[in-house]
Amino acid sequence: MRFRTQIAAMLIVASVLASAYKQETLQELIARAEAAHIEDRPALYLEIAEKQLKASDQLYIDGKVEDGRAALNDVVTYSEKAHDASIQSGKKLKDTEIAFRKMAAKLRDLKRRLNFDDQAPIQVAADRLENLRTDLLSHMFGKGK
Amino acid sequence: MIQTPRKIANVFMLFALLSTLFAQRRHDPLNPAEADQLREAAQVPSERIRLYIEFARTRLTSLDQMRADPKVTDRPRQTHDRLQDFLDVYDELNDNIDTFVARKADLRKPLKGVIEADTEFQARLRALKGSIESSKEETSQYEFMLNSVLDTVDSGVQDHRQLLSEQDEAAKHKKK
Repeated sequence: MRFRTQIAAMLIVASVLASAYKQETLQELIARAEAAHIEDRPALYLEIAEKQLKASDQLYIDGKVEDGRAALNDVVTYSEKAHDASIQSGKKLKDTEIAFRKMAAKLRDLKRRLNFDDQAPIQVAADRLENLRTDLLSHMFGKGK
Repeated sequence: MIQTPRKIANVFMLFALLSTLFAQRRHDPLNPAEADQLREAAQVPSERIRLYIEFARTRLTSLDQMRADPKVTDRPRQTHDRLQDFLDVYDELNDNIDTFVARKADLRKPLKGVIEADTEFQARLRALKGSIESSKEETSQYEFMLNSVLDTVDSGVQDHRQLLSEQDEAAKHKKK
């Protein structure tokens, strides 16, 4: 019994440490993106958004709706930053547009797997990504200048 | 009576505003029946992938049918929208493949179907591009979309072949 308790305690500590390390990695990535040259920021912000989308997907599937929603907010926030940096630098416009399209596809798939009550924030995020994408396309074709 | 033109203008503005709102909210590329089929196949990668291939194929067929219909008046717009629908479904197919790979699913069999479908989609899209180039149709509304779709399917073929070869290799090592 005592042995089992020790194992359980070790597993909890390992899980907390792994979680802290993961969080730190994300925080480091965010710090790197904020400090990067403007032309390097779109790719880094997209990496953050994609990581958080993956995390959000898993959290929703695990039933951790609030945490999933928080990660979803990050997806939108860092997508907006990628959009702004891309337009400001004039770099990676097409890559950013493709990334938005793919993330929107993932969000649609996630939305269909959830209960009706949990679908609204996913739809809002997908719509926001589509709007950012449309805006990027306008810039690519000169209308947004 | 004097207010009538203003009322018409207000109605027109409201209509324009609603059009913008609807334009900003993209519709789901899958209909409810298709979404139900996917939900039922949630735990069966091969079935889910087969369904996505079928749905993507249906989008291309719908595009071909629309373009062959002489009664269609807004062909460039409709071509754009149908290409977008195909691309949305194809993106979801790829996203599902990525998810199943992350879960270490054996996708060797379904991937063969995907690669066959990729080859078919490439041929149909290239035929569409060829027919457009030889006609005098106004293409500015969908040229970028068509090129995006072709680029996506081209890189999809490579990725799927690479993945199949990796899975074949992994299966060989497992057997040893």
